[in-house]
Amino acid sequence: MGSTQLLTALVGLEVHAQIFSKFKVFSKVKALFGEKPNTLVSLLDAGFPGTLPVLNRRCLDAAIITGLALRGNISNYVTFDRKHYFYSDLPLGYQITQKTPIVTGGYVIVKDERGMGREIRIEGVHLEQDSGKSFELQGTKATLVDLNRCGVGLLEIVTKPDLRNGQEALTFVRELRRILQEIGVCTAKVAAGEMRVDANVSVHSPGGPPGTRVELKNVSGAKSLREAIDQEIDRQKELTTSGYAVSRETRSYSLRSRSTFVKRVKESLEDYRYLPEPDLPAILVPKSYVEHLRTRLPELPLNTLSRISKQYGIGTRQCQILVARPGAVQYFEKGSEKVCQGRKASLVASLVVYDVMKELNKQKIENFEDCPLPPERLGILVDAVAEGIVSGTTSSFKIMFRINHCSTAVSNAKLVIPHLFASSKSVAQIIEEVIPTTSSASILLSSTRSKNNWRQIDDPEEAERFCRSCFSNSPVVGDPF
Amino acid sequence: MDKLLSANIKTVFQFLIDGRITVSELISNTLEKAHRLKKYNAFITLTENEAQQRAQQSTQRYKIKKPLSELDGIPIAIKDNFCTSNIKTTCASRMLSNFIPTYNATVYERLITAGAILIGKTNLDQFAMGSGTVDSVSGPAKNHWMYNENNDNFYISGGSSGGSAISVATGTCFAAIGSDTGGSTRNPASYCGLVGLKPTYGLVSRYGLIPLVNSMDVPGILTRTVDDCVVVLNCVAGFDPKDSTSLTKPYRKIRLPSVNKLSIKNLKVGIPNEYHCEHLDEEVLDVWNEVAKLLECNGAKIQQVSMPHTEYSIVCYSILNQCEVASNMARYDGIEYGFRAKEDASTEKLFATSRSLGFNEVVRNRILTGNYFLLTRNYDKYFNQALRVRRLIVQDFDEVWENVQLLLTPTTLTTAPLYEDFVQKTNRDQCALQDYCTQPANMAGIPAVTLPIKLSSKGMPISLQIMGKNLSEPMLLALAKYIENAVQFKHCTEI
Repeated sequence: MGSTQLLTALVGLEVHAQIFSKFKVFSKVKALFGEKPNTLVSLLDAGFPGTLPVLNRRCLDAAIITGLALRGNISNYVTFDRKHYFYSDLPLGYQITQKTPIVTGGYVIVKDERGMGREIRIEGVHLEQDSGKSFELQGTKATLVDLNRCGVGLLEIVTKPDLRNGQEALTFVRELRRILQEIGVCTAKVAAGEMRVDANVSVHSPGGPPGTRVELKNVSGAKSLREAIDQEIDRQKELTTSGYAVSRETRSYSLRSRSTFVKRVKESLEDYRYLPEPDLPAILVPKSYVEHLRTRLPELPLNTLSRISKQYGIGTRQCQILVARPGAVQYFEKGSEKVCQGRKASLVASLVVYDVMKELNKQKIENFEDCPLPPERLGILVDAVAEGIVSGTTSSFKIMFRINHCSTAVSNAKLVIPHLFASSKSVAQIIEEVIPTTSSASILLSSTRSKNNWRQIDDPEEAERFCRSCFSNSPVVGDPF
Repeated sequence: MDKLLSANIKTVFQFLIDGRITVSELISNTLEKAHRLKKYNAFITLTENEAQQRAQQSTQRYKIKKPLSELDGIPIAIKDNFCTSNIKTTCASRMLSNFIPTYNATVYERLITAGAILIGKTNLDQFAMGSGTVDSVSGPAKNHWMYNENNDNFYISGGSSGGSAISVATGTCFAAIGSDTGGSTRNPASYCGLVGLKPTYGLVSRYGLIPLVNSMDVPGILTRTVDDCVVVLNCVAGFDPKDSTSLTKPYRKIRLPSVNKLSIKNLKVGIPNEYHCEHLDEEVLDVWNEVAKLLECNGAKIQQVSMPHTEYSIVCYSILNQCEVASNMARYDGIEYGFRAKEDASTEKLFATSRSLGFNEVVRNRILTGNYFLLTRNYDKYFNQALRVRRLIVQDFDEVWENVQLLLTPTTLTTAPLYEDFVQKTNRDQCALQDYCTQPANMAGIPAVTLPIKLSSKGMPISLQIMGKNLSEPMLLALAKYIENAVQFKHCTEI
């Protein structure tokens, strides 16, 4: 059907991120996942009469910090509202939320495959309570309710419908997730339900009015998100070009059947009868408080990316990978600055990005903080490569550095890295073992040339002992002194 | 002993200190009297075991001359919409008929920390909705004034804190805590001839008070004398971190001068024209005039003032009340606590049935109306508009305070009506009438106190109300004490 090509899709996301905080947003009970049901419930969470909400300052800060990271406007007059509906996992009969979000505007830059950046605009960010969980027991009339999650602080981040397809949505969510993790606001473990995504999808003819919006509920999880949205776009396009109307609905996505299905029909919008929360007076947030929080912001991923690219002369692709991996930039800079002064940052980056990460992935280590290979050891290897000591058989591996013997040296260096992880032997020894054409003596010499913590050997006896030990282990060295 | 039960707190405290009586004796007599006076239906629950236990502890403290405060050992009562740990808290409704909280309302917590002894939870209109204490699942509370044993046509106690009023007015206890949202403490105080204080909004913590209108509710105090009222206020007032609407300004205990040191010279008192309304009883009007004259003769500067938005106050209050009620009642689904109907067709049906059976008509009425006003399409026309009018009412008061320090008005338009007459009108119409003079203070958040002046020709108490600006309790209560001393109202505490 050629005409489906003429329709464009509009996708907006509503992301619910659980705030990383010791206590819940309005009650002083721990906010933890995976505990025994109904063990982390305060009187307020269970809706007991006469109980009152008290705002957890940490959650307010989290909202402000998020607003700063997303470059939005922080309101200096913060109010809360009650949103009413009846459900078994909502003991109060209402959710405390914000009709007027604390943050408005802002954007997230999302880069596509070609590296082109697009601004995805944020509609707003607001604070609210999470609900509890309920399960209907199949085959019975019983509903099981667990209120542990009830009252946990959430940030709801709503985008404008600037996304166009499932892949973009996924990229956006990943970027948002990284930002939230970076600023310490949300640990975003999807399996624990710490970050949930709903999508709003519509299609229309370019230039025409926007089509009917369909809500896709809870399409968290990378696969679901991308597929659900793309499926839904296709479904709507087919309907529209066949002359049918798209109904205003809430749909869910089934991974098994690879399709969306109706959850409930939204003939009329549910009226939540918002009421300003009378138990929480408005909060005045002075500019000075916001600025104080701004100083505590860590460097944001986007800024880091441009900085290291400029500072170290590393290509965009590698910068992106470094910035995307938790702890990678810190590891890299430790490597580049401290240990590898005078070393080529680009070489370090290459080894880190491709080979060290490969090892970490094999060992299922996510964060570079937990990397078992200390940067100093990597540094020694880098020196060896830079000095041309590590050389070997040719390889067609193409790297764009300007180092002598670069392609062969680097490809051989890559062989060494897994061994650096696996063994606690000295770097020199490992290099020698892995790449037979190198000599350990020359590796040692090259390492002392760089700013290592190696002392000068002044005692001639010690020097002799040292040399002998090297020679005795190496069959390669020529006639003894 | 009965005379002692009718005395003031200071006197009893002295008796206890002097060892002329023990707390255990005091409490036994109190409980015995409470039983004897069951016919007035002031109490929903009598907490005999707890009271006797605490009495023993208190007695020991007096033995070693270490009372916790001047309230140590003093019997008090609390309205049954305040949560009291391990003691049934029903709000006079079927919905909470079996509800036993595990936590204390802050007001209650502070009182028992001071050593006061709770003898029971008092009767009220269901969920504090009403001005008569006639809409209670425990039956109506009866005014002991002019009570005729033989004919059961009694005068109402007023509401919604009717039970608290009767418990103090009959001399069964020395002080009672009520709540005041539109006049619920001052109304029964007026009908039963008591001092009834509505403190400044936020001065006394609402934690544990089952709410009616969160933006107007305050815990109220009912006593026979102004001095007693001050003792209780000093015990319960002050910031509570559990209540985000409680005032953070540190509370300074009030020390009223003794009567002979009180002077009202040059005190500027305003008489608002609009409170002289259509249904104001002649006798009440006369008393209002008399007291105004009395003050003037003794040096006060009396002036007429105008508060032009007074007539809109009751309608506006009605809308805000119903909206917040609809919201506050949403939590009663019978799932976590409270009444759960035997219904298993679906969760929705379960909610609906539990709520239909658990709430009385008044409550259901207000929920439905409130939800109607809160619909998105109606919000601006009703709720938001009511908020705008509320601001105008607050402004009326702000302007008046530029010229006067206190206001003198009637509390209720009449003396206590007969039950028969009262129930002729609906709850809603009665509230609209009875709350006329009292609810503006709730709209504005300001403090107000009612005190009994004299008896009507029918032998029923006539009371007047004094209002002041926010946190003017010291001045307010000083004037009240002055008038109290001047009029020498005789309480009728049953034998």
